[in-house]
Amino acid sequence: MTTDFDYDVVVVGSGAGGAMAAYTLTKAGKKVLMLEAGRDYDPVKETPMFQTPREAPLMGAPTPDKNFGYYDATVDGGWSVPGEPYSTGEGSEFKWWRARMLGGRTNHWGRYSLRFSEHDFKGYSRDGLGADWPFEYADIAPWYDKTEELVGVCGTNTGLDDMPDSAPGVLQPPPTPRVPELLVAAAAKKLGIAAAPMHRAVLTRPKDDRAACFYATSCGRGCSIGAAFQTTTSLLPMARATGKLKIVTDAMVKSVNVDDKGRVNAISYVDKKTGELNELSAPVTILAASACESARIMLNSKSEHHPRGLANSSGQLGRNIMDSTGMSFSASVPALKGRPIYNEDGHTANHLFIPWWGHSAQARGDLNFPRGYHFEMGTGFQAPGAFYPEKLQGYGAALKRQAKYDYGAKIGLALRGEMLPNEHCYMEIDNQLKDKWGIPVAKFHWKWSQHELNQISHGLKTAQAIFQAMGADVSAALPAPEDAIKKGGEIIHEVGATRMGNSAKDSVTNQWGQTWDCDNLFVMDGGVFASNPHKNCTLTIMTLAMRNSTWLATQLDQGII
Amino acid sequence: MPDINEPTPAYKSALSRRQTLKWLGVMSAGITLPVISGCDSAAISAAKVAGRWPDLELAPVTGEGYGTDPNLISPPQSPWPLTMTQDQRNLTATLCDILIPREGSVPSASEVGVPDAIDEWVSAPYPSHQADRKEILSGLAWLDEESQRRFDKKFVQASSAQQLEIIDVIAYEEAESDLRYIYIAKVFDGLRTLVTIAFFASAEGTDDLGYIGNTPIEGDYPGPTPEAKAHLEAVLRDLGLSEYRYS
Repeated sequence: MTTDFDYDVVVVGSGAGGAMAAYTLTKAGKKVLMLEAGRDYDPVKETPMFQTPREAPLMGAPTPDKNFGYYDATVDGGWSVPGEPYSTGEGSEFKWWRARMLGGRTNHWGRYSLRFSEHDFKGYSRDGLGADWPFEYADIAPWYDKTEELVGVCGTNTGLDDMPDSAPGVLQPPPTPRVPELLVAAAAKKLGIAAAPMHRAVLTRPKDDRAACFYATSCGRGCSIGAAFQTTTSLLPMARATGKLKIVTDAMVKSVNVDDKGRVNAISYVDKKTGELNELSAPVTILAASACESARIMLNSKSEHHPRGLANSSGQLGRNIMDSTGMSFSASVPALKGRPIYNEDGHTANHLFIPWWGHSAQARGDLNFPRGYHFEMGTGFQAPGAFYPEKLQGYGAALKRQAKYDYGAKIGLALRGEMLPNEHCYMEIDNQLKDKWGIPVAKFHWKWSQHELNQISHGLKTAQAIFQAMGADVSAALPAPEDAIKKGGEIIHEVGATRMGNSAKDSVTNQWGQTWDCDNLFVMDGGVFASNPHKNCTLTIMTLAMRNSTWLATQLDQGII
Repeated sequence: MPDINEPTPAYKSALSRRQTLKWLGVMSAGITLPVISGCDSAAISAAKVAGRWPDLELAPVTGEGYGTDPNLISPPQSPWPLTMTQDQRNLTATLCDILIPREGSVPSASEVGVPDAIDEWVSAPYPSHQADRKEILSGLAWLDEESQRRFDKKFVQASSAQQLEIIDVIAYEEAESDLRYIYIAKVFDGLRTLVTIAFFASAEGTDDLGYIGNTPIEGDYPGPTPEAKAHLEAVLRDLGLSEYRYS
């Protein structure tokens, strides 16, 4: 299969990192062979635009087959993948969301696209916890601009210290806020907390072959018109149009192999259609299979030169896994009951959110946790089927009157926060269990530290205060943070398993995602994150992949690699 | 291969929560439900005894779900065989129309096919739906038995006034603190939620609710109507938040 296409680079994975790498490299004239573990997927033909809950089994409710509901774009995945288990250590809970489809998780992601800041990149320098990133914000800011420009991000420059500005003209205009968001914003402002337009990878103006959002049908289903960014309607077709990208789907990578000097020279993968194990040569390899899947491949790639797993001389491979912290607080707001109905679909997610406001309080030592969080809002007159009425009473006309009166009055505040890496959060290979392809599976270990629990406590009190300012009855005792915090992995922001750094002693890659131990092996997914700021990882995954693929192309041009 | 990816309950309180709460949780995925205290297994047993709960023993529904890669454009019309008996469907239809009767030109719950949605729900081969099935079908049996005890006839054969005599006992929050009725009241509450959701999900129910989204908009999102803005201004004023208005 490889004889007809003389490629320069093999990319494993077609999601945010892999597709951006392929796009950047093909535009730079390099030939790329991409391996994707899932099936081919065409969002133009397969996205359920406008289908209603009533047309779906169980009104579209979540099931073990479709964990985020019937219409979620995820194919052959979710919290479990058929035939591809993972395990957890005793006393550990960890959830791992995977997709087995072209484009990976970009087909359904929330599209929230917030930049990390200098503050975020230098947490260790500030508080001595975790690790710094091996570059400055100024180094990456132009790449954020290029990525936002290419991807299409709506939002505004707010001037808030948690939200670095984009270059003028980069951001597209954000949609106007809705009533419940405006109420939350006012209540928060009374507490000294500012709300701001969310930044989302959703077009509000047309770009390339992609249409602008028409403000209907949830982005989690995928977007056949290309307004909500996913690699299957943008980077992949654009890279294919160069004639320099070949994609092989249903190709599950088993290991990355090395020559007698310990340098990568081949990749073994299972062709899922035939079950056969194939090997192909690999002049340069980019792993972008998702943070934990790339680490799993590397841990499964042991050799004489790499006895603890490929490029693991530091011992950090599989360590330092971080998710976002998560917590939800919801209540009904009496003042919103019976309010005038209008179309609140918008771009189907947050128009406003609450960025982290506590930088100066943390600098003063007023808070008992070191890193920040933000609140997302769940509000609105949502499509029935997804909406849940209040606690109902009685029956007949009175019941229906109550349900209609309560419609659109419920607000949820969802905390998303930064966790610190700790020695209890890591993955290894489970020597007892293989998947259906014969590949040993990942085994996860997890434990929150007091940093995260204190942050959750603060979030619970803050959410309660915001609801009180809105006149909601939230007098019930707050839950313990151990009960309120979501499980590890549940926010689906797991990163860090192949972290980058300034030294081969305590990191797996350098700032370019190039492994310290193999100059022709790169990681370009969330695995390279040195820390996990609360701002959702995908924009930064794509930005790093663009910057680092550009560097790789230069290295190839100069014959250095 | 053992399915080790099935999420395991995190805390003991989650394990001891009664089944009815569990299936409410399924229906309201994404919304946090309050934990009800005193629902340990002893309390549940006492409520079942006092409430003369039928606790049906049911053969499990076996079969496949719709899988992890179903057709999203044309969802299956019959994803699995329906399992309710005709009597159970009749009783469900009667309850549907007690809960949501026809009002003028707005059809009742049974008229828009809610009993089919309930049958599909309890017939689904997923663990949580199987748990719901046991509770809902036991609840239907309880209603028939209660009707037999009071009126010597099955629920659907009782007069409308007789039916409401029973429903009035179990349909309000007070029943949830009466040991004789707490269990049926919880199950009835769950069924009521399911019927309400299914009604509003129907085309006629969606119109009745007033939802006007899921339609493409040309140009920018228009945001709140003048009427909605005026309402917000009044709310901000009443809550003392006008000076903190977002701008």
